[in-house]
Amino acid sequence: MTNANMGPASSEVQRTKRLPARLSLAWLLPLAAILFAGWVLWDSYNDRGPLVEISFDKAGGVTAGETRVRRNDVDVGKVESVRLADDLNSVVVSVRMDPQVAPYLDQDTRFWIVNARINTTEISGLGTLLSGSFIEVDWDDVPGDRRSEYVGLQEPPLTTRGTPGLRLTLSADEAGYIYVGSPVFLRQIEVGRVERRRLSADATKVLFDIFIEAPHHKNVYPGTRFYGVSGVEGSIGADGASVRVESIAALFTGGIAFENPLEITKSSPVISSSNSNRSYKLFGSRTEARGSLFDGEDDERYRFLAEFPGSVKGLRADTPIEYNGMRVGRVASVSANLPNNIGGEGSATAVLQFQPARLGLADVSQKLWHEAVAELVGGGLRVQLASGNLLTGSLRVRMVTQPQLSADAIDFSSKPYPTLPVMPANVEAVTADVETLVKNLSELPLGSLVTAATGLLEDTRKLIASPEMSTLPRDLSTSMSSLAASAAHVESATADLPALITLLTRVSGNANEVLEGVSPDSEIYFELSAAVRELGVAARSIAAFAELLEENPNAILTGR
Amino acid sequence: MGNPDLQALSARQSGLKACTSCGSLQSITDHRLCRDCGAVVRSRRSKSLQRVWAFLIVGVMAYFPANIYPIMLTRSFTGNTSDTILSGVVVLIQSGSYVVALIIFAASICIPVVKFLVIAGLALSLQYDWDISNHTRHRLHTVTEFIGRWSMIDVFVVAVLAALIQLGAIMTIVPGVGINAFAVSVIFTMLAASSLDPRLLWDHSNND
Repeated sequence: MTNANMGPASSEVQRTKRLPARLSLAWLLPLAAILFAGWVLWDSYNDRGPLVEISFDKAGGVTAGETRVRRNDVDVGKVESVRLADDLNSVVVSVRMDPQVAPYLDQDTRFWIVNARINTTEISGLGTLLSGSFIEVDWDDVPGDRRSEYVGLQEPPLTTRGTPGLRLTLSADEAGYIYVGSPVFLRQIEVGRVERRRLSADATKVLFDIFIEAPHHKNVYPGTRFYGVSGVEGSIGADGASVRVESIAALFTGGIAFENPLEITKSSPVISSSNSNRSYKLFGSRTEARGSLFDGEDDERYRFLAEFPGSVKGLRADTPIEYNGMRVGRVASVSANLPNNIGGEGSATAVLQFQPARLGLADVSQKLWHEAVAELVGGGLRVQLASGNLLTGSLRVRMVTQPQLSADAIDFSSKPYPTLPVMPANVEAVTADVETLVKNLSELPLGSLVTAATGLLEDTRKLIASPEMSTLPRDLSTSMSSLAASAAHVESATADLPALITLLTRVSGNANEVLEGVSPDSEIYFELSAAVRELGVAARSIAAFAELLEENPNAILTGR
Repeated sequence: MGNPDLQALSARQSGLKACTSCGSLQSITDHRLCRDCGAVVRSRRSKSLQRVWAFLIVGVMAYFPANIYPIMLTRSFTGNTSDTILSGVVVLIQSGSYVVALIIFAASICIPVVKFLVIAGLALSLQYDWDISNHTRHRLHTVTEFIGRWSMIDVFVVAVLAALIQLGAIMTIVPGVGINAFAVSVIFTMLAASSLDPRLLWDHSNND
């Protein structure tokens, strides 16, 4: 820049050249941009929620950067990365959660992957076929200690934590046809689901965790009876056979139903899961559940022994004990005893489990119970075996009162339970009756009956095969065609009737004309007017007849 | 460089300044306002280079989010997709629209980057008296100003798509954050290019 020789301009140029030394206002813009960028960075860093790692067995459809974590269909997080776990057997999904939900990421939080599920109990998640799968999260509404590593659920839980209702545990001897997701019914209305099915710790029971939705959970009382409904329940009784199906879905998947006996609805219901520590028993069937409406069925205080001499074939555990035809207990177990002396008859000892509640002695103490029974025995109460079912040969235990037998008393010395006196059974007599019955049945002249029936059938077949029978259809058709012909004749006759009527009318008109020329006093006038009246009546009758024929051509044959 | 015969005398060397509005010449010591049309007349735009740098920095800064963040969010019943400039180009190539992909790539990636480099190069060459022909400088400056506007093609594409494709649940296109940043980047780059006083380019040629 050697322009010093340009005299007039030099000072101005020097001034102009100094100008860049001063800062331009335009520098505020990059400054603002830097501040803005810094603020955005800081804000997004600050807004970053916690990073949680969830391990899944399989990460079906989960994509880093795309898959969302949702709660009630609202995004609350995003998958940042998907990688194999260190043991290479599972998948670890890192999820950046929204800061808003951070307080709820405690030990009660559960994650699972939502895919389309189609099976017998549910069709769900079809939307994910188009939109891709997502991770669903569920937590309770109580903030807790932060956790950052979770194990994802294999399957979606059937109910989320927030759902109002009641969780119960039922125990059963066998799992039956009840699966996770099977419905729970109350009066055939679906009110809940089976959430989990597992073995108890010692593997002696199957435990079902069920969830009953509000408001139906108010119908669960401490004495509520739960029973399995596995498809069809059929029974044959004195009032005929009956088949009961709880629901079509349960027909395929099984289910659990519960009902409340009237007596217990007066007690207060179990409202929250926390005060339902008691485990409910899951009965095998509705009948079984109804049959066990009284507590104390496993109460050792109410047990007695009974020693039955001779064969007890047909007596087994759970055989009912009946008093006046009412069930008051059951046989807990049966064991055989060797005879005391060689050649003697052996016996069987049954443990009788009574349920005093069925006798109106609810929650009675052992002492009072023994006293009551001792008094009854003193009055002649005995235990007797009776025939239960003729077909299966099963037995039942009957309490009978024979006042003349008051000598025996309860043997309180026996172990482990007192022994009740036994009256010999008349099972043999019953058996003999049955044998007689069978014998009578076999003596029925079934052979001759069958012969007679066969002969009857033979005769019938002969009759049908005879030539007369074969011509019968032809005769019938001939009759039908002649009927049709006569009907046609009647129709043509009917067609002529109007002409006849017109003719008759004309004749009567002519007659009137003739009569006008006749003196009213003359005899011929009287005769003629009578004849004309007759003619009119005849014409009306013919008209009526024609109408009848038109309506019903058969009338010419049937007269009606 | 160049033919010495073409060595012209600038107005500034003659102690004059030209009004950029009406073209009338006046003395360099005259009043700031043009005596003919009243516009501000300066021999050289003051702090031109500073402004170039300031705008250029903002433009470059905005270019980063423009490429990182999605410029377009497509919401359809099959899910949401978001496209950045580069992923959009890739999608176009995959779907076989090579020409459109080339245009978008040129307008959104090549042109802005070339512009940054050219403007920065011009500004540096002025600042440090690099030995570049004044004609080369002038050509570069003209080209920069000419192609700058074409970068806006991306912004228009997104604006038109977002306005047209609003089919509710079937498909909706929403402009993303990236396109705002991209527009800011283009605008400031254009401002930077226009802040460069072309007369400065010729001042330096006097060194030859």
